[in-house]
Amino acid sequence: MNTLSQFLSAHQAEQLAQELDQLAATTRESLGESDARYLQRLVAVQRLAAISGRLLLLAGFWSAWWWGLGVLLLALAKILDNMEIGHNVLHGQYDWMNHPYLNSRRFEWDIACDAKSWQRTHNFEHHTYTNIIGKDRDFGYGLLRLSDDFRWRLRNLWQFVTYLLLSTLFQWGVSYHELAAQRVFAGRKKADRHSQVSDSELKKAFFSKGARQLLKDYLVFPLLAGPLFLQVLLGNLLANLIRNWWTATVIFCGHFTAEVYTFSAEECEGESRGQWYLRQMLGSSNFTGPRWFHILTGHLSCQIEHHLFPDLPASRYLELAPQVQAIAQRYQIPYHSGSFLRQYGTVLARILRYSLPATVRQTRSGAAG
Amino acid sequence: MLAAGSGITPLFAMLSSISRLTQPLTLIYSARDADPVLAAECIRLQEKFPLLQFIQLNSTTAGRLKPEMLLAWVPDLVKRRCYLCGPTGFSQQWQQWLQQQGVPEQAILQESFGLQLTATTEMQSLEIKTPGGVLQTLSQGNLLQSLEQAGLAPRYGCRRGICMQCLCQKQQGQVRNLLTGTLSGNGTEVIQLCITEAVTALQLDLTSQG
Repeated sequence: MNTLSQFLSAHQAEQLAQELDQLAATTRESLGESDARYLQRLVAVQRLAAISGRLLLLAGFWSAWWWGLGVLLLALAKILDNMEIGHNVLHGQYDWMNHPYLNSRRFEWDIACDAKSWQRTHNFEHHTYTNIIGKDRDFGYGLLRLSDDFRWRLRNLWQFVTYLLLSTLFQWGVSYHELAAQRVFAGRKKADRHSQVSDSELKKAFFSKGARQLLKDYLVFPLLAGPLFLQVLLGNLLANLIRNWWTATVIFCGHFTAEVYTFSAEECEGESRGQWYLRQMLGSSNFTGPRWFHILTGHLSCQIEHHLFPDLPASRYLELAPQVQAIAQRYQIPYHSGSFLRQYGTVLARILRYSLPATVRQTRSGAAG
Repeated sequence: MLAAGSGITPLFAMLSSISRLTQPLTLIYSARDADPVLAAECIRLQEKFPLLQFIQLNSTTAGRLKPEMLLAWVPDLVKRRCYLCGPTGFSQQWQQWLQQQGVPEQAILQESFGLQLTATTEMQSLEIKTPGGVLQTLSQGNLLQSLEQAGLAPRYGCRRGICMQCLCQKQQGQVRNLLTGTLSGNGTEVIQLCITEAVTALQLDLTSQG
């Protein structure tokens, strides 16, 4: 069962690679002043939202509405920092600016996860092995069964609850992701996994970043507010939760919608550049919305374009999308897209569907589930 | 500004696009057969910009540009900002000399026209700064593989230019991007080891990784 060769012959794959490479090269050449200004404006907005949000939490002393607004602004600041700024800067999308801080080696983001750890599991593993069962741990995070490629286990019965919990504690899930993969705290070490970072280094980064985040949001800022300690602490907690729910939702829509394909490690062995591009397209999906909505998602709404061109500034994905879609049409490659609600709906359906083993689903519906 | 051969083109473009010159600027144009039109334009620009000094050197008759000549024409060299443009060897040689004279690295800007490309099969010498000291080795082809063959363990990830795990600071030298074929500049920049190969001698700083 070779999904990749079903869609493209070797020659077509080569042509696809050339076309997409050309598209990337043209875009790369056009990067410049306006992209730099966009990022810097974004950082300015993020900082303004963070400062005003934290200050408004104090104004809750007069009215809960101010506190509520403060929470929303702080949540917005965290979302912008994590998604449109952090995720994209850490991908190296803005390294060409030679900015002293907004580059993939220096930037640290407002989330429990250590940036370097993220770069290893996300930039390297997830983007290289996208949707390859057994290699891309992002496909279910080792917690959820999202396709029949995985053996059914009893705990999958309540995996919708697991999903809700993961969503709520998403920043910690993300932070722990690499340690789970490396079996640092529990489980037997996997023979085929080798890491260039030792377990003790992983633990050190996990605890130090996590501790810094906890201290910042639940001790330092509340203490600075003196008698208003509790309302600041609760405000920070709620802002973190909002960020967790939003980022988890957006991220889940990227690879778990109804039509995405999964792949086996064997069929991707010796994959050509064109086939890699094809797998990225088949394994990702987009959703639509107004421009401000795309920015809030860090342009992960354009997951396909992001997976094709992870090192191009995400703000360019919207203009690339029609061209990518046209190329997909010419090569008869499915281009997964839909409204946000529709896509998210299919994600929830997927989590529920694979809570049950295939055999049970077949007998119940009388057809393959 | 030092221009050799067709390197005059961007430097001239810079000069012709400014409206005022508020600092002394010396443009030295060294070539075997100089472009007469550009040279004439540069002479005329001296009238527009009183602070511009244009010196034309015919390397066939007067020989190549030598350090003594440069020091004679621009005695306060160390304080100047230097623009170098020409073939790779030219830019590299003058950059090294200028730095030796005490010109700070950030004050030297250069472009090289890869007109004298070395073949990709040629071995290039690498000087690598590691946590254990400085290592000298040879490289051919893919830099990541060359470093591994030399017994080093650089950080890497996908090994195909996607994940940026192997980013490393190049202090000096020119590299070629194996995916796009583009040549880099000669100065300090960050490169992805897995998709670049050395085109000239290189200085790398492995301690700058991750």
